[in-house]
Amino acid sequence: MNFPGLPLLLQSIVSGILMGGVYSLVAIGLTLIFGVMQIINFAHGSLMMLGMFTTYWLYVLMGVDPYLSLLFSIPICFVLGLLIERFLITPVLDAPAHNQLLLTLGLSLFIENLALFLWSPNFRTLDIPYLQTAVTVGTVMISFPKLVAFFFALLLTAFLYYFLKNTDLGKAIRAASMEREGALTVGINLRWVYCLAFGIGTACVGAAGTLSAPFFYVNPSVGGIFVITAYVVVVFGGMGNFIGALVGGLIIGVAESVGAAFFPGQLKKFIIYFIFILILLFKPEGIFGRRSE
Amino acid sequence: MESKKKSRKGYEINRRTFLKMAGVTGLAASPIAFPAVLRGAAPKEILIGSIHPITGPVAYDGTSLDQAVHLAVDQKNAAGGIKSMGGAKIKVALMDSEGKPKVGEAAAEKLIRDGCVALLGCYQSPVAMVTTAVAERHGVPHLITVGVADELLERGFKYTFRTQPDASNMAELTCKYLRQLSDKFNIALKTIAVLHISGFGAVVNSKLAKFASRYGFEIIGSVSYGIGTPDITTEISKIKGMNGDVIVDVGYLSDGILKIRTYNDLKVEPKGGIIGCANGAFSNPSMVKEMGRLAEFLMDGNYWHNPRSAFARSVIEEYNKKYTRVIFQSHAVHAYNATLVVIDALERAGTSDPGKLRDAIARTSFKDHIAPGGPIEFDTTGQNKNAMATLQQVQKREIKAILPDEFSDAKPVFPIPPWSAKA
Repeated sequence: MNFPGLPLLLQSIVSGILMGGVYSLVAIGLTLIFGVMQIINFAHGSLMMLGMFTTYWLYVLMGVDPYLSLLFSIPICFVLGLLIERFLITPVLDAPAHNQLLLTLGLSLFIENLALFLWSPNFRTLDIPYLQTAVTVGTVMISFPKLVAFFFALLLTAFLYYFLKNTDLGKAIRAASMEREGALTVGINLRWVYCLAFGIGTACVGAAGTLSAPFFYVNPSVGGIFVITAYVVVVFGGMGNFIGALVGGLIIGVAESVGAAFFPGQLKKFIIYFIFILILLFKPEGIFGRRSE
Repeated sequence: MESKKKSRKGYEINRRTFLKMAGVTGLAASPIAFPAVLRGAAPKEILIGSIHPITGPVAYDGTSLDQAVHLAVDQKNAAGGIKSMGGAKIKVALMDSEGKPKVGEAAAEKLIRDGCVALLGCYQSPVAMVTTAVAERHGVPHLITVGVADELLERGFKYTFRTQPDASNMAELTCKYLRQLSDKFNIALKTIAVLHISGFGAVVNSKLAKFASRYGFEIIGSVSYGIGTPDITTEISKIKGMNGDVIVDVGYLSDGILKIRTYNDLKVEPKGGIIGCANGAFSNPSMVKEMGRLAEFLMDGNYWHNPRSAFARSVIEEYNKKYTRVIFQSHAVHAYNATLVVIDALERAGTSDPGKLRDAIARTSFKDHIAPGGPIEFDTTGQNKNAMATLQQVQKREIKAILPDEFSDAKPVFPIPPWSAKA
């Protein structure tokens, strides 16, 4: 372990926060689905990959600007999420947890291999000049596409937060997440709420895919890279906790990036998983989690 | 442990089957020799196994290797098969390693059980470490298509062979070519900082540390990162802060894409440039296609085909005609060569008995391959004595070999122009 100088430390904190925004957005979709339906969605990563490919193909085939393609990837992923929930998840809602887990895992393998078959394992990138710009503030470099991704991630999160807090539909989703039977008693259509929650969760990760495509590569197995971290974020922030996922994403992003300044190689992951284990041991409901009943 | 048990069980079944067969035909043969007898008996079709990662994060590379194996075999079959064996055709049995040693081990067991007379694999050294061990145990020759770690051949195995230059060769020659560039263009270069991926990158890094001083360089530091890292900014800031004359970069394709972008974002421009060593991205046509102008002038000390060989050029052309989804890249050179070695040995041995095939491979002296350097000949460890890395550079969106002169098809552009000047 060697001690980094101040410029390196500042740089790593800034890049950590920027990446953290993307982690948050991925984790929010995951935590929403878990909070409402108590299902861990293992297909989350492959759905993110679909979001990335949507953006990639819209640009390559029709010249649509990657950020404009949010207008497509969000609804596409939303509808896809609805369909997956309706036709694949609903039948196993009352099945044992491991069946649900295997189903989402199977779905992720199916989507990834389909993508492999359709689009080959090639690594693709969006080669657009303005995506290769970076601004320098003092000694800190800020990559333009990462900055944009960060702000959009915050914006979408704020929007979603408002929706859940202040609209009837949002309240219904939260009610279903807090108290299943109670929600049924007051006449909330749980099936529709589940559908909606899964759709929104998928739309979130689709948006995260679109926002990452400009600074990352696109490939059928790319989703796993982000989603593994997102699982840690979800546990960190409390399973099903919206604010926890947002703050957790930022903290994990910074921990990973600053970890790289101190430790070599794989060890930067050490910090993340160390936090992960500590949380599981001492505060399994997560930093922001409510005590389970 | 479990897999060991399984294989023993499989063997017992084989022996029982054998005893039955022996009873019926009245043949007297020792149970140990049985697998060889079965496989050696005038086959109509010779089975060889290809173990490569065709799914997972390095699926792109794995596919390119497997395709090269298929291409070499298809060409031979189209030309009439193995003549010394009455025109016997070869069939490739492919198994996906998923990049995981455990999966690779099971694949090797299965392929050998299915009657493969030789194995080809595996792109990743950790996978090849176990597949070669399986092959050794069963006495089946294993050609390493790509697998950089020197350790693969340091275990005294009799059945493992490798046509590609090893990590030492690539690291040493990269240092040597760097020194030649420094002398030729009169730019004093002294210090090297190394950015490398963990795993195979750590192996190459240790070899760089070993050979750098021999060519007048000093390694002032190295930074490593793990595969599947979503962001590499901190690592690159670190390496930039070391202010070495040269940055030597080791990694795969996916991380390479992120690194090149980040080098550009941070305007990392050491006076001797950023030079790859055994780099899966820097001399990869797929990278050049995706990165556009940022790819210009990147260099890589790596295995490559011989651009002066008409045969090599025709193989690449045919490859890209046949496989349009995953195009030819340098890994395919040695997958192709390794397959040619097996074919050549089958032809000379006149039998597909794995033991005899092994001996034929060990005596290989094969000129008509597509890599630079002399004929493929194996030393006692199984390493191709005449393998050599060359230095490549991206020039006008094409990858050219620039050093040494006798295997080059372009002149070096040095020093490497700054990122903003790349067009």
